Amino acid sequence: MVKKTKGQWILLGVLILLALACVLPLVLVVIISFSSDASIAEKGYSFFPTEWSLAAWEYVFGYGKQLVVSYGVTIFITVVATVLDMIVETMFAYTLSRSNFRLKKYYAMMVLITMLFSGGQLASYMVNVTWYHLKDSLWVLILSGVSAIHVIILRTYIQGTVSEALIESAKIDGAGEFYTFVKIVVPCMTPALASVAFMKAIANWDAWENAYLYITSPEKTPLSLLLMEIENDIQFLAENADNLSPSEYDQLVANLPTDSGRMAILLAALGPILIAYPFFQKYFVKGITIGSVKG
Amino acid sequence: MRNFKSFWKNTWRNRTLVLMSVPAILSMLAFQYAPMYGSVLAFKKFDFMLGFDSPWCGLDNFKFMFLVGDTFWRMTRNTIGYFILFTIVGTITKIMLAIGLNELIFKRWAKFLQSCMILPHFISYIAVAFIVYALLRNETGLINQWIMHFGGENVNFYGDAEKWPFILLIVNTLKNVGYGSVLYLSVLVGIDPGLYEAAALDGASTWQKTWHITIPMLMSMVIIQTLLGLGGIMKSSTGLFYQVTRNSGALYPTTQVLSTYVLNAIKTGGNYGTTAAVALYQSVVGTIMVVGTNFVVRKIDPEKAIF
Repeated sequence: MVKKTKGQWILLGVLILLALACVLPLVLVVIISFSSDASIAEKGYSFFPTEWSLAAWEYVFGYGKQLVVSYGVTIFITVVATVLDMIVETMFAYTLSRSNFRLKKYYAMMVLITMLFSGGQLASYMVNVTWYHLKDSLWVLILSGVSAIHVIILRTYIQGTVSEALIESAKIDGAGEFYTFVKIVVPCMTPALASVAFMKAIANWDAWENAYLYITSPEKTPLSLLLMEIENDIQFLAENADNLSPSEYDQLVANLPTDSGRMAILLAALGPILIAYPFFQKYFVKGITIGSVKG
Repeated sequence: MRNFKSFWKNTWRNRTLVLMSVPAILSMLAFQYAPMYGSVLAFKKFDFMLGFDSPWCGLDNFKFMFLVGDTFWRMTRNTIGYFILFTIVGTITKIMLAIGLNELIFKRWAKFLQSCMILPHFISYIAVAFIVYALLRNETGLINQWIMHFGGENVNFYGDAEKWPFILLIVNTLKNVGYGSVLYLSVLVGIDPGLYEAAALDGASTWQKTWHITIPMLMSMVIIQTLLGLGGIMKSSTGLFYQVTRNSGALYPTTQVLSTYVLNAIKTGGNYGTTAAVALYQSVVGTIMVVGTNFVVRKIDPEKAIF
């Protein structure tokens, strides 16, 4: 048993402060969403509002169609993009892991090149818009090429955990390549699959750049873009307050959420991640460590 | 010739594997290799009606890029400056946190606190931007509330460029330190305890053990992480520099980076020729950095090179 020295208590204190710095801003958001607007007007944002209120949450549930639609779009994109990418990349990683497959050398080269050089955002934008006609299409949020890092993580994991002998013995027993992959290799990969899928799902849920560049119609607007639009409207209002006629101004204000309403919408968007986080934590901690093994 | 034949024989025998790789290959060609070709826009006089069929214009776009001068150099300086700042501060804080968590004997606390510190990594930058705005905005923002409570003057954070390197450094560090330290912690856990016992027998203090055993053990991870990071030297996080700064023009002197310039130019439909030139410059410098550092590392220690 190590002694609980003074140094240990100081260390604990410092780490607690750091953890608070990471978590308190989120707590502030929760508190603002439950503060009454009068309290915000009087005290500004505060951890201790003078008056609590559920108005913001009533507003969120009354915000109605657009929020539901955006939620649907985000869930759809997250699920489809994650599942699709996982299938494509796991199969590809398996081919890269087969030692007696001579084409894999060239595949690896192809992956390496995508890591070294990219056409950049503008070139992607022009290709997607002029060649594939993906402007304002949900596909542009789903199809994004192959993530080199994730392929490397998956391949390294297959090489490390699924022994060559196991695969060979399955083949001797008459299993075809694809059958071996589905029945033997994939079940062995659960931890790696879970952590990569979790990383992808989070990235898809949080993604905003492509939606910002491509999506224009409200029925295809994901949550991230919806949040940005609300922010932009508020900024527009603040900057142009003097130039707008009173009726225009009133109309804009009527459509905009209050401060507490914005925070409630934000929490509604963050919700699933905050809920899923504790359950998936162990997987992605494993995932980071797997990923660090160079290939 | 025989080689070639046996290669095809091998490929034919593994045709299921070839089939399994087809979706990935097609996806890479369509969404990663086609945009590489798309870089030719940098050498064209861009016309919205013609798109990729716009006429060639040689290096005019690059000339223009350098002519714009100040903005261009400022963006480059900001991009590289923040990368260096984030890498140095990030690495040091991640290592310190990993050592701290590893040394802490309250193991349950260590686990819980680590979870709290990893959480920000999964919060989108849009949310971070909301939160930073809630803290820093004029009058009602939490920080300004505190300043005024103690008798100070309201600080206009979103109009004062000088404060932003500091603000962005704090935001970036808090968002990434917990997640980044997991890797270093995994190395620490793997260090043979015998090394520490031997050092203790020779009378080494805790600091000496950290300095002479822990830090050297972490070095190869530091090198790998820095190398992998170098590939992204020109690709700053648009979330941090576009969302968190609210793309505020007043802050451009210290916050505009190449990737936010490109994003903004696409969105506002600016001059695509020049933008393509900037984007190509961004990609090429990035490639040179990776290949270059990898070359140097391989000369010194082939084990640590990525390829």
